[in-house]
Amino acid sequence: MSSSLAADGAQRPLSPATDWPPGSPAPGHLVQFYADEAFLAATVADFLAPAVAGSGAAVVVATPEHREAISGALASRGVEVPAAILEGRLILCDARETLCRLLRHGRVDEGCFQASVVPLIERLALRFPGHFRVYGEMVDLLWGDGARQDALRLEALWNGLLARQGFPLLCTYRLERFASAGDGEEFARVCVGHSHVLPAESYTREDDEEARRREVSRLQQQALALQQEVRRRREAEEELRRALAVRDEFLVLAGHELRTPLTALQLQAQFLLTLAEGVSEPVRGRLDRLEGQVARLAEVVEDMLAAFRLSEARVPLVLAEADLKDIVTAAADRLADSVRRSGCSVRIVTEEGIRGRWDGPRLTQVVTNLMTNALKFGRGGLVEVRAASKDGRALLWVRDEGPGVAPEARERIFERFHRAVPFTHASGLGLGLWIARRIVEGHGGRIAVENRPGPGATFLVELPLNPEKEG
Amino acid sequence: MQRGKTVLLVEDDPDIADTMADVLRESGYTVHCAADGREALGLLARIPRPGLILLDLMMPSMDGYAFRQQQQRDPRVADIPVVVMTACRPTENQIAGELDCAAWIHKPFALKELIALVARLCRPTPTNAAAAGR
Repeated sequence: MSSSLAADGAQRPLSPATDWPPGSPAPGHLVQFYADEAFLAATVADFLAPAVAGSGAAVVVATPEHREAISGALASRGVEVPAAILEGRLILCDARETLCRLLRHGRVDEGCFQASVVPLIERLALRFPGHFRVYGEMVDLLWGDGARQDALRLEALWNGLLARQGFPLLCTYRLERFASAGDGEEFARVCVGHSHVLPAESYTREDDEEARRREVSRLQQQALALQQEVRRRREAEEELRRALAVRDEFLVLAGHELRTPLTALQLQAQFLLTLAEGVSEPVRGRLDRLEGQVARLAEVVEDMLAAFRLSEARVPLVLAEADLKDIVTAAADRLADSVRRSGCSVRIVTEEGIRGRWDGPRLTQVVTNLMTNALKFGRGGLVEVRAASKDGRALLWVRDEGPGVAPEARERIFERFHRAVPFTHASGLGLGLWIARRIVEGHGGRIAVENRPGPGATFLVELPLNPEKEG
Repeated sequence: MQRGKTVLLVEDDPDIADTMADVLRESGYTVHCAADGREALGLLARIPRPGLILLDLMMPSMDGYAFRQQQQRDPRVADIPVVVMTACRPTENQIAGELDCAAWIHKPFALKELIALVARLCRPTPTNAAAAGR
């Protein structure tokens, strides 16, 4: 932090109001950081008033709101603002317009600066030698636009002009422009470009020296606490990343170790059923129940594994060319025995050639979950799966003849762990529709229960054919 | 029934391998089984050229990736279509070309799904005369 030596020899912070008294303006390039708009107007007025209230002049290059606030603050300090403007001793310029005149091909240009700013300063230097001050916030606009290199370049051009003409120049930056811990280096570069750095209002408004020191101590403590907090959070983030990596590794292993015996069980149960044509009905019934339990276990395992993956903010998808008909067929094949057990009949009507860049296995899980839901609540009626395309989007409907979904539950049923009926009435974790929604929305699509008259529920899935293209 | 078609099944889990082999034989296929990639490469050199390879990925000794690389380097067997069977989700690279397979089938799969896929992709085993002219 810059400071000056007071008469008593003690170091004290600089202030535009006290360090540049009228008649003896010290040339220099000040930067004031601020958080509060009222503070900004007051501090700029404190800086300019000594010049413009006397025989000197001031230039304000600011946004319309700030020009108005600064004019008001100058008036409250006894400056006859309209008269000063008429006499050419108070020049108010729009920061954005002036900045545009300094740009060439969108970058701050030395030639433009020489052509527009330098003549103005030279005229002031001739008319008010040693008695004018300049305030500008173009650098803050550039910083806010993300053009940080241009802001620093403009600061350097002002410094070049100051070296030749010697006048007090104040610029301001919103402190929030440097709000992240990573901004420290650029903040330091801004400070280096100035002869005097004025800290934000929480510090400089304290007039009493002891109060000022206490405030410094408080801010130092806050800065240290924040540094520690940032460090702790970084460590926590790193720990979280490691934990997630361990979890992902475990999920891969668990997925493999659970699915491998399930595959063996499911294949054997289904194969035994195909061989059991001639066996007695009780034996066949037991085999059927065995296959049903294996299918149920497979469903729970898939839902559990998916629930971990799909809990992340961004749904992890592996996109590749896929055909919606193949996806629907794979789901129907998987559910063939569940269909038989449910007593429902299934009709599949799909258009040919509905192809998209999708995560095929995940979409198979969507269709499987919607069909499982329809079989569970379909009361042995018809379950119809339709697929079509329209306006560059794939559409999929799964309709059943069950009790339907009450209007007030149409959003709720897609929530995690939501169960349409109590545990005692139907199996499952209450994850199926939530998983379907996460996967569909991960593709940039939408899923909803359609509002149709009559009994039954119809679920509609809409998918972009190319989720990557649609962003 | 699929007479005259041969499948090479590369799977280390004996329960899965036995059941799949039984199911496919029941459907009329000739099935050769290997418990890992190395054994599969050995079989490829001895048995009549199969019309399809069903390949597990995670196996001891030589896994599915290493087998696939070796197979692709050998012009005599490189063009045999491969169906990858996996209990893990493949990455985009694997799907896009690293494994360059005809299809993926995700465990646990249904019997019906397996039979439909093999029926669609398995080529007839060449006759002796055709094989000799290869």
